[in-house]
Amino acid sequence: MTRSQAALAVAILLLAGMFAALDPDFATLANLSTLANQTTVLAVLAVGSTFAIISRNIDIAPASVMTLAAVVVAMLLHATGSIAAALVAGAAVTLAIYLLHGLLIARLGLDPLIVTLAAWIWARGLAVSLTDATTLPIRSAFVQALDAPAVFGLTPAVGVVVAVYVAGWVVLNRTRLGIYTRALGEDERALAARGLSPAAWKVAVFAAMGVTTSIAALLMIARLAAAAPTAGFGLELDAIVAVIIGGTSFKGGSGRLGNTVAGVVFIAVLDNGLSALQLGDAEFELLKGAGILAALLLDAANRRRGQKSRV
Amino acid sequence: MIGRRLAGASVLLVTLLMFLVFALTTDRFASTGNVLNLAKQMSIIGVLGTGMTFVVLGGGIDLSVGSVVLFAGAIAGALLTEGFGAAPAMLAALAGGALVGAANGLLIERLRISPVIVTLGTMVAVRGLGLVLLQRYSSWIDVSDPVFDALGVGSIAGVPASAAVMLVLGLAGALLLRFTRFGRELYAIGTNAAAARLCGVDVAGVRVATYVLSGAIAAVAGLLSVVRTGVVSPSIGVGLEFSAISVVVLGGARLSGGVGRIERTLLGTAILVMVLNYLTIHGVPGTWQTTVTGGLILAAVLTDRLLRRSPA
Repeated sequence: MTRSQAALAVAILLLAGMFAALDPDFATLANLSTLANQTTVLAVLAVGSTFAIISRNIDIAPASVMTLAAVVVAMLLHATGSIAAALVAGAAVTLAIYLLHGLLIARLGLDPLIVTLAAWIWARGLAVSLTDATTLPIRSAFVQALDAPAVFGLTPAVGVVVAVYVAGWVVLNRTRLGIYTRALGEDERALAARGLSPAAWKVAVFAAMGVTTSIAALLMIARLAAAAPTAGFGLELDAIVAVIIGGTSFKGGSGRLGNTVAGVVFIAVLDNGLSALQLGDAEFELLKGAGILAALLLDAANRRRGQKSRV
Repeated sequence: MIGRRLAGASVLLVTLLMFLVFALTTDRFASTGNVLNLAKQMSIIGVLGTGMTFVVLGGGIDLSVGSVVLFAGAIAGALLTEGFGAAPAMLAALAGGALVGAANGLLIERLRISPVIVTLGTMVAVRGLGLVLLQRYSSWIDVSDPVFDALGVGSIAGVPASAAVMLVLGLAGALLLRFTRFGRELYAIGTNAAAARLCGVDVAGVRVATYVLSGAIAAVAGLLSVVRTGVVSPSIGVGLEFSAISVVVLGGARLSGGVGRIERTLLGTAILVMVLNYLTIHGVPGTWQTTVTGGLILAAVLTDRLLRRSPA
């Protein structure tokens, strides 16, 4: 465990201890399972963000694309009555958008921040336009089952999250895609020097991010039993922050999914604990922002110390 | 080279062409009333874009400006409610914005944290700060001050006051970039920071200055927002950081730094506002405008890329 990771672990424990002291209900099994159930969508999005950041890309679109996908699912379910067809279409739309992003960024060399900023705007706008800013219900036994508490109050959705992390870990550490994800972040030319196409592998990384975003869309649908065009607002930022707080460098090339887990837990504890204190929106945002900044500063300070000791 | 020139001039050409087409296909579009309306609608985003241009030129980004709009508005509204005059209220708002900018700049340059991450953090925290301040006034401040009211309805030589503020600020910024050492050093940093450092440029200092400028200018946009609506409400400024980045990109700037001009950012603002206005006149529901905005950004970077790629 590096100094950064130890500091984050201590920060999470301190934060949890503080909330437990302020609110007797915080450290109960019921609340902890609620915390896990609430965090599924963010946790899956953060896997995609980890791949993005390790490959030295950034993706601020996933929450918007996920919301659009949910709207597509709801509309197709109403039109066809088949949840399977609707879910497949939602996933297809998500994958298509990610492949397009991958091509624009890898082949044309467009800035990932701009490309995904555009989608952050247009996908959300489209979700609102298609629904006239209303929430569309999604009634399906399969989707309901995903969000029904099963073991220790945990939902099957939590199991999906665990599966995504295991799969993500395997891909990142045991496959060529994982090796090349890191290589892209380190130095694209290393790939080219070995006769591989950096552009093709970059598109593959974006396709992987499309897969995690589709799964996040499914979990959001399960959570809400609906497609809400304003749901998930800001989750893309939470996901990026979770990756960075976890200690993955924004410079790319390195990072671990284990770190991301710690970052997600930090954000989840912060969100859940602050919500339980029944603060107003204003105090909530202020304290959340302060918590995030504090974690970032801690991380940066540790990193600097690490650099100095190496010199 | 020709491609590059074309990419530079194309922003102006596209703006003019768009205006011409819109004017010819729509009765009311080129009417004096509508043009003044366009100028008014441009003011807040144009001002934010001006500040953002400085940051982007240095290779940075500032996601906190939308929150600064709220923060500055809340400061001004609070001071006015407490009986202070317009001048102290405005100065305090500007100081508040500059302070946020200084915090951003120092965190980014001294601690070497990525600008996206730092300004994401301050985006959340500063919005919280503004909301907490606003909450002391039941989360809603009605501003009634002679100076603010006058700015809201007044005009200078026919130009609405808010648009005049944007133009003056834009002109000052453009001159600053073109004729001062700061401007030359900023372009040098954006093009090649390492080379600029070797030439003795204080890279960190210049970059911190761009964030201070961006924060203070975002406060101006906050004041304009109060002037325009006469109220400070919790939702002001939400999402404006992305509008600001959009108009900078529409103006042909590169987020990697070194390329961009304030004149073009204002033209980018004009393009965005004209398109949205055109859609409104033609009865396209407001919800579709967001989709169009996103598509417009994508179209702009694609065009820019393809023009640069053309053999020349």
